[in-house]
Amino acid sequence: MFVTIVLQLVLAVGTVALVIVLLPAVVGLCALYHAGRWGRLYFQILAQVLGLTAGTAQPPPTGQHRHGGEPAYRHYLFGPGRSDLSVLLSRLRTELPADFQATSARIWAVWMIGPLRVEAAVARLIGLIFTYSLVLGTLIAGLVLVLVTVVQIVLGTVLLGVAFAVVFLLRAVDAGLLRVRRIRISCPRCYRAIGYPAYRCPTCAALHRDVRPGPYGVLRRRCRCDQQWLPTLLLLGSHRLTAWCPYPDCGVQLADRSGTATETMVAVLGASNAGKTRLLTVLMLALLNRTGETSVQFADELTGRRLRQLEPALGAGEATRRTLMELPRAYSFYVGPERGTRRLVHLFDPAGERFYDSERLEELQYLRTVNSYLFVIDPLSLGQIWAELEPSLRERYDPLRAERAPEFVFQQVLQNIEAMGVNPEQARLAVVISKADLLTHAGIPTPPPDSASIERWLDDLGMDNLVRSVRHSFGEVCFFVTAAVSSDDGAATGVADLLGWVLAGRR
Amino acid sequence: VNRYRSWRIAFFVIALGSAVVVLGALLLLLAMSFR
Repeated sequence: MFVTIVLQLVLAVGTVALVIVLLPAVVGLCALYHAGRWGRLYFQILAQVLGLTAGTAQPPPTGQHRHGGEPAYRHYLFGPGRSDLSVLLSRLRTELPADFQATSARIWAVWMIGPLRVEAAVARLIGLIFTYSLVLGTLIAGLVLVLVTVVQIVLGTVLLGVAFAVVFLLRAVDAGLLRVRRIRISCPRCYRAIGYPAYRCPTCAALHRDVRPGPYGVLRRRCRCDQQWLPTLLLLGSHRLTAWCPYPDCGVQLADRSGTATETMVAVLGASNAGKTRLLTVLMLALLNRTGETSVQFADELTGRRLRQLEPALGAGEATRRTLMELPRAYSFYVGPERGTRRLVHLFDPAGERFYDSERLEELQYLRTVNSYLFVIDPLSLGQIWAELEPSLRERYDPLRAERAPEFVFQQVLQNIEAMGVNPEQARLAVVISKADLLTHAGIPTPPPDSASIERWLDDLGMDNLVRSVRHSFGEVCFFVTAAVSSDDGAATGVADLLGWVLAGRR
Repeated sequence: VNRYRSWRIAFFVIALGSAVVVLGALLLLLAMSFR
């Protein structure tokens, strides 16, 4: 009797111990096993999504350029990172519930199926314990994975924020440096101001319209050809690439190393046959032959090619080819350094006919940003000079004579640039009397080379209205007399002075 | 070629690190609740 009571007590205490201590321990261990299994599964899926495990498929080609975007791969933080996270979460959403269902089905198949009999009660109890452990483990793992995902999102957002800050900082520093160095970039063909040059990939020639730090890279970007890294700022070396006008309706090649020097824009004005192209050719040759500390380089290949086409006519004493009516592309040079930094000089030489018609003149939008104007006056177009010529010379010079009077051209230009919103008082104007050699040949005295004497000479020839108008309109005016033919020493009359005046100009 | 290999390894390391941190924090909370 006593033994039976003791045995029953031991059994009762054992059962209580089993229920209170052993059962939770077993459930806890099983739950931890399931949570650990999910953790392992999570990292396996993550490694597969990121393409880090050997033998797994590579991740999708995220970050490739989209239609309308740049031909470059996006920076990981600006798209592919989010895409990886999204793929990971999507796979977790399908694979973890599938694993839960498979595991619970396995437990039910082993422990919970069969007729309800007393000897099966233990098996059912074990099955219930395993099911409970699975649910508990899933909850623990789910909580941990949610927290891990939140931490990842927070860290990703912080990194993205830092990347944005660096992007804006770099852009601000680069823009600030351009501003401090007074560097402005203009297209030599469409004349519009360029915020930043476009660049072509040196390998595949894909055009990157905006290379600046952004979604495609902070310090550099990878071209879609996957062969080339491109720097994202002038500051970081993008000037070493070939620059292009970023406007889709233009897209011409810009000067080499665009954005590294201050620009000086010089516009040549004058009637057709006034001698603008010839003067410009002599001016450019004088620039190239300039000795001393000044170094001069063609800023693009086209300038050199065009100058080489003009040069033979000058050497042979023939007239240069008539300038075409199309919108002029600038002749571009790098000049310097004599004292300071070098400068990019753009010289614009349009056809004279453009000045006769306001509509065509309006198309010369570079006049909005020009620093210096060269107004070329053909002395043969001045009435008094023409009257003084012998009839035989008149007949000979008639094909060489400017088609329109200088007053007309000047008024046309003045009206149009004022209509463009330009204040001529802030601009410089050189009044250049061309063809001095023809005057000498005709026995007509040319004025002394100083500005005041040339101004008086024009006054005496009845051009006082023009001189007054020029003086009244422009802030700085200087007069020159030139002969666009090379003398024995290789220098053309008055061109050196004119060149000095052009190079002294700065906005 | 895994284009973003370095960034993706960093992603993996961040996930691993954050899992360790979260588990550590949960265990700490559990230990504190039993004290």
